[in-house]
Amino acid sequence: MKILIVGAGQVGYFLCERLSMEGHEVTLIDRRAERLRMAQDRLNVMGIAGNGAGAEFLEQGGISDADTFIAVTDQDEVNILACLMASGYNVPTRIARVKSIEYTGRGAILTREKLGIDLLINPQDAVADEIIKIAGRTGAIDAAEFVEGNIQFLGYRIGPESPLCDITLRELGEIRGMYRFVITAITRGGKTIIPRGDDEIRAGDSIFIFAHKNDLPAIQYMLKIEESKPSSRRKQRVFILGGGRIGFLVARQLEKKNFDVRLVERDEARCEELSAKFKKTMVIQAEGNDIRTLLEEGVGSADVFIAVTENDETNILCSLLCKQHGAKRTVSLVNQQELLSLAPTLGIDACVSPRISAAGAILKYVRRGEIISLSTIEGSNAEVIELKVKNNTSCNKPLKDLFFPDGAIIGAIVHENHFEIATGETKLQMGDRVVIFALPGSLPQVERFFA
Amino acid sequence: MRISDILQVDAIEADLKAKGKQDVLTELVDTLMRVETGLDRDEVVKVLLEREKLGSTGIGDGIAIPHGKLKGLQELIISFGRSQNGVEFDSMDGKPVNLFFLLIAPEESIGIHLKTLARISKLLKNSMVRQKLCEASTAEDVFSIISEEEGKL
Repeated sequence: MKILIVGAGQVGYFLCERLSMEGHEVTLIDRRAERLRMAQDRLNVMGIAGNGAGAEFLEQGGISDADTFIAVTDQDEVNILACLMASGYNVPTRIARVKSIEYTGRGAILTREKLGIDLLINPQDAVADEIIKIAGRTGAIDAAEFVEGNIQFLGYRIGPESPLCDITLRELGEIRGMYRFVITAITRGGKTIIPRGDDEIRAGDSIFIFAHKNDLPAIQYMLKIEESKPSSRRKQRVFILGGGRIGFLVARQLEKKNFDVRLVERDEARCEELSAKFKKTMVIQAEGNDIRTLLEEGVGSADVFIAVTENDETNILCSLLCKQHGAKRTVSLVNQQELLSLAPTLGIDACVSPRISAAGAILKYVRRGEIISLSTIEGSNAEVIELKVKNNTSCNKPLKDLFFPDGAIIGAIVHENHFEIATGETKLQMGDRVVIFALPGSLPQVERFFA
Repeated sequence: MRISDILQVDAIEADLKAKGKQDVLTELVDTLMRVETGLDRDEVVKVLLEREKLGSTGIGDGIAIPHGKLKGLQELIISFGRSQNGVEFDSMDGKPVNLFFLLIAPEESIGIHLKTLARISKLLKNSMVRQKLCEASTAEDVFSIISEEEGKL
């Protein structure tokens, strides 16, 4: 596929990296020569220095035969104008990143349809969606759903008390009759591997599993990963620090999902504004590091603490502070790329970035043809994808006899209404939907394997 | 840890009488209580039934490994039971169950529990072992089959 990307910022770079790695022909347009040079040096992309909404540069980038156009500069106006240009050149798929334009909901003046843009993506909305998903899972550090929610992909951190400590993958394989799940990856010391039978789970690891949603209660019972009791006894208590757009969106959704939501914001006027918008959410005026006030308000028994202020350092520090005082899980919004990989090592359970979330959502959209669903794993750049089996060569043979690409593993298979957690004996059939975990770089081979 | 180090001959019942799921669980707990006299029978049965609610421990091929965790227990305890006629147990393959291993683990140390579960599953995956256990005539025979076959794992 031929893809034109305008904007070599974090989102643009991320997209170039992924899409070029997958074998697409990627051209990047940006005014800043030094950003372009960085991308060209490290990635297999062509760079064009110039205005991304200018016909001259677009033509130079080969817009007339491009399949997909993605505008992700920092400026909404440039992105929208660039997309309008792209529709003038009849590019089939047009995607724009927007920050401040309201394009969904009842009040929206400009909509996707009116602008003729296939996907409008707001990084703040994308990251709010991601936070809501993370908050909804007990104990999980990463989560995604596949095959209409039937197959769940979950990441868990293994503490020294975990019953999984010192268990080998082979031992877990033995009890698959009762506990139907498969560990597809282990992250240890910043490195993610696909484990084999002799590999042992250790304290400090993060494990990533596939399971059917119906089997999760039994798995959680056995693995003691329901640290906080389900909401039947007590509502899940969530603290949100930062009453900006993201904080508001997250609070509104979690309130709907029957969480006990407490929103902390330092600005008095904003507090009043927020109070008027919520039915049940408690709005607290305080600074994030005012731990005494937060403790009085019950942060010590919070199931999740979510820090989404505009300041990365505040988010990280307040998360750590509240965790130390008893908050069970913490989610931090982190904008700076350098801090994104640091934060988990400090003990923050999940770090989210608006740009990465937006890029993930765009990637998912671009790949929607072959790949039914895709999720990026925080921190490791590994991905989970759902594909349909379309060729016969991989069918009717046990998986262990197939030459499946290195760096990838089949986790679950759905055949009509029947699902299976993959083992070496599993056989694929035409039309099956498979969910696969893939380390960075192995995705193109995986796609080719099933193409 | 070996199964035969935990399982005692007296906690083996070679001829279970129960016909239904709850009854067979109770009978297995009673079997276990021959050696673990201090257990609260109703409490243990309740724990097992709650676990069954999350999904049957009947793994197919006529095998079930009901298990649960109990507060205040010192160590993992096991009983074994065999039903000649088979018991309907909502197994994965829909077939009745003949061979039962019952495991109760301390709430705090489930690691051993998992390892032992894995060991039992592995042992019973061997169809020869299943057949031998079904044909054994006494509790002593059952024990020596388990002990011997476990040595080959």
